[in-house]
Amino acid sequence: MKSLLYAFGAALALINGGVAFLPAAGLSVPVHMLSAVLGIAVLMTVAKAAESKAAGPSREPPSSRPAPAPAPVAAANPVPVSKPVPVVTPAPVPTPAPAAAPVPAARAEAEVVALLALLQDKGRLVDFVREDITGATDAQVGAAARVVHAGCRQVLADCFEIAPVRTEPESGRVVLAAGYDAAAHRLLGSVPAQPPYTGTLLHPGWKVVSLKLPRVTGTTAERPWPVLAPAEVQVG
Amino acid sequence: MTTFLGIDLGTSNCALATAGPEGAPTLEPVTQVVTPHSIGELDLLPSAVYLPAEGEAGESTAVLPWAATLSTGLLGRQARERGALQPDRLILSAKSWLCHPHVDRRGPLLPWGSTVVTQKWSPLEVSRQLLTHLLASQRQRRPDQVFSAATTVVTVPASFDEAARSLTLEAAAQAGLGEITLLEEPQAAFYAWLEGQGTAWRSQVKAGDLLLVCDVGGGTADFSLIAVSEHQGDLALERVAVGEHLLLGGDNMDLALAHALGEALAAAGTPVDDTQFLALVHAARAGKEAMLGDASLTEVPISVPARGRRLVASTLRTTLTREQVNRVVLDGFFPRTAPTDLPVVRRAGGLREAGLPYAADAALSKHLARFLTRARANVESSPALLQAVGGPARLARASLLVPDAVLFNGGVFNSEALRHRVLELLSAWAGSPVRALAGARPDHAVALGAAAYARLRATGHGVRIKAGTARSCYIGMESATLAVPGRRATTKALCVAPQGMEEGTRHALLDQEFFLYTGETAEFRFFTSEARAGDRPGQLLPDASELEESARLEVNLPSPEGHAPGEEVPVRMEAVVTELGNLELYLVHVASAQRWKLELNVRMK
Repeated sequence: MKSLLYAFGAALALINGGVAFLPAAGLSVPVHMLSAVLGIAVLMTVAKAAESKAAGPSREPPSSRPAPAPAPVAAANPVPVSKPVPVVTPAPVPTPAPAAAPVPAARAEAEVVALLALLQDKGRLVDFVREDITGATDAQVGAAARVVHAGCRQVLADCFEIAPVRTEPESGRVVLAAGYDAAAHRLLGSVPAQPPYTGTLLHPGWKVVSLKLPRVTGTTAERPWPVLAPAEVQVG
Repeated sequence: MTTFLGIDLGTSNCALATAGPEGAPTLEPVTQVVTPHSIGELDLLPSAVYLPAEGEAGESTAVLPWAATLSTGLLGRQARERGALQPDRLILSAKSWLCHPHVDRRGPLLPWGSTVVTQKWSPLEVSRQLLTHLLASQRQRRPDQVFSAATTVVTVPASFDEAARSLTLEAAAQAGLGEITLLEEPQAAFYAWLEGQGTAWRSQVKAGDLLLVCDVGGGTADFSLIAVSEHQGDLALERVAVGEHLLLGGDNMDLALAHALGEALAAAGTPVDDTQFLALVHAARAGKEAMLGDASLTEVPISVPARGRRLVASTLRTTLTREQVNRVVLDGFFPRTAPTDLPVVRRAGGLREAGLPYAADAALSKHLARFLTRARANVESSPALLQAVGGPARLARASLLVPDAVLFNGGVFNSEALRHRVLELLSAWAGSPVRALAGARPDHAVALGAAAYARLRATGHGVRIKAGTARSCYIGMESATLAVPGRRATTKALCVAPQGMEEGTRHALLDQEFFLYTGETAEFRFFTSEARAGDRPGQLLPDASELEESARLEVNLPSPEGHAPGEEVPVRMEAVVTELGNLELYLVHVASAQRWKLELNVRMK
């Protein structure tokens, strides 16, 4: 399972260049949500990692992950939705703490697995990536890609509000003045010591404006993550 | 802060909207189980219930936030998806069972025909659970909102009969809402439009206009006509006709397209299984929407995945063509028919048993023609209504009661092509152009309009649609004639409440006296009609068979003072429409002034 954690680090490094997370005004997006989002960029790696899964999950949080999320995996854990809704602090009904509450690190991992499970369920992503397509024709791959595209597109639309970092047209000229959001831009070519930087926009980037991820519930110490895709049995 | 709550308890999906004292109503997302192991918020709560096998219980680890205090079944998105391949354990369209007069609507009969589910649910229970879930979600998400029965409106189809309405009220009371107000869905859509337009609506309509609300949802179609008149210098609105319950909607179009695609695949030597057919339905819907939204598309490629891990190797390919969409959707559901071309209608009753009374004819055009034909008869029967729609001049224009403008509602009408086809059809029938009201929001209008109406009721600010009871109601009376072998005695019908009877009014039927035995259950048959607005309370129709039988009324009278048990007691009937707009019927013992409320016993034998 180490490879999964490496993937996290790698993804963070990678994503720092091109994607910025800008939570909607007034919302504080829980940290574990962010790590769940990162999962999308490392799906391939996760899938590979699952292949070599041998022992139980690692309990060691990845070095790149910030402080643990404050809430344990209580059922009524409030999570902001895409609309500016006041955060529900005291739930009207007292929710008893689960008997064996897993540690927050496991919850973050559970959220990543849940998102991947969603992409598999709706878009057959894991099936697609894990299938050997060497002998398949382009037409076959194309037909399957439509299934993956339609399903994953729907998951993305349901869970994320995504916008480009830059609104200028691709290949247009852009000027980055001093104080530009360095975390949301990656400079290529010969970069002078100080801004302003003038250049061609190769990729306008993507940023997540708001998140509406499903919340995993009912995980236990024995099963800290949801099943990626249940085995299907036709009864009878 | 007082919050006004509007609940769209839909056949396929539920939605909930709130409004503050001012400003536009907002749609509130509903917390629900979205995957076997997670919960989330979605704009709609699918009106689906999945009843898992005992052994399946461990499959789902998703826990709703209110699970500790409130037990709700598996409802919503995950129920629909889990049940898609397990139809024996899935309850859909429970609302249509709620207005099915030939079943015990309080009895455990859903999923209909299932042999694997041991503990079935009643249609009433499904409505109760959906309402309970919607409320629990809203209370959990927004504990700051205060709402009560007085600030809550739940919508029902305009086609719902009194029994189905009263069951919906019962479900709301059981869900802890108290005595709420019901609103017809097409009216709710209209209130949403009024709310969205502000004062500008007056520039879109004029006195003398007749407006059609054309609401085609996932599984049902619902029509209403609203007349615009001038009253003391301002425009006034009156609902003049409602349609019959019609089980035909957008889902039928997707299914029809999926069947067309499935047949093409089978002809090519690759028949599809159940899983693939479901994928076909989804793909057909997406393809249909793409094509109806873009006139330049001639075909849409369709990919159908199979079960098993091998996606690339087993995905089937086909193509949805414009010819198919035109033939199946446009000409299949909205054909250019003549105004006299009516659907074949199966009469309720008889021996046709089992299942929902799905529309036998898929052509919505013909159902619309039937609605407008009956609306014309309804208006002709009542001088007041005839004046409201512009007098005999309107009847002279066509053989149908043709509207001047249409408010479209329901996801189907996101498509410009379908809106255009309906307008084209109506214009042809009218002989003059029929326009669409601008600014319609086909997707969530019913819930938003219900919230707007809840506020309007409480504050009195805004335009109200004069409505009253949606249809005329009758009690059946057996004729006192000699029995003739081979001839069924005809049942007469006594009008107890004509259409349009307004909130807070009462009719005592002084001329009609019934004799009832005390201490015994007496049964009355209950009939309705949406084409006889002109009948007067107390009017006796010679033959009830031209009406729709909708329920049985049951009464068991204890002996009034001065009468021995088993004695015959003379009673009179009284109809009351409460301030909340609900029809109640009473038997009155004149001598003792005792009153008994008649309960709608919803099963018809």
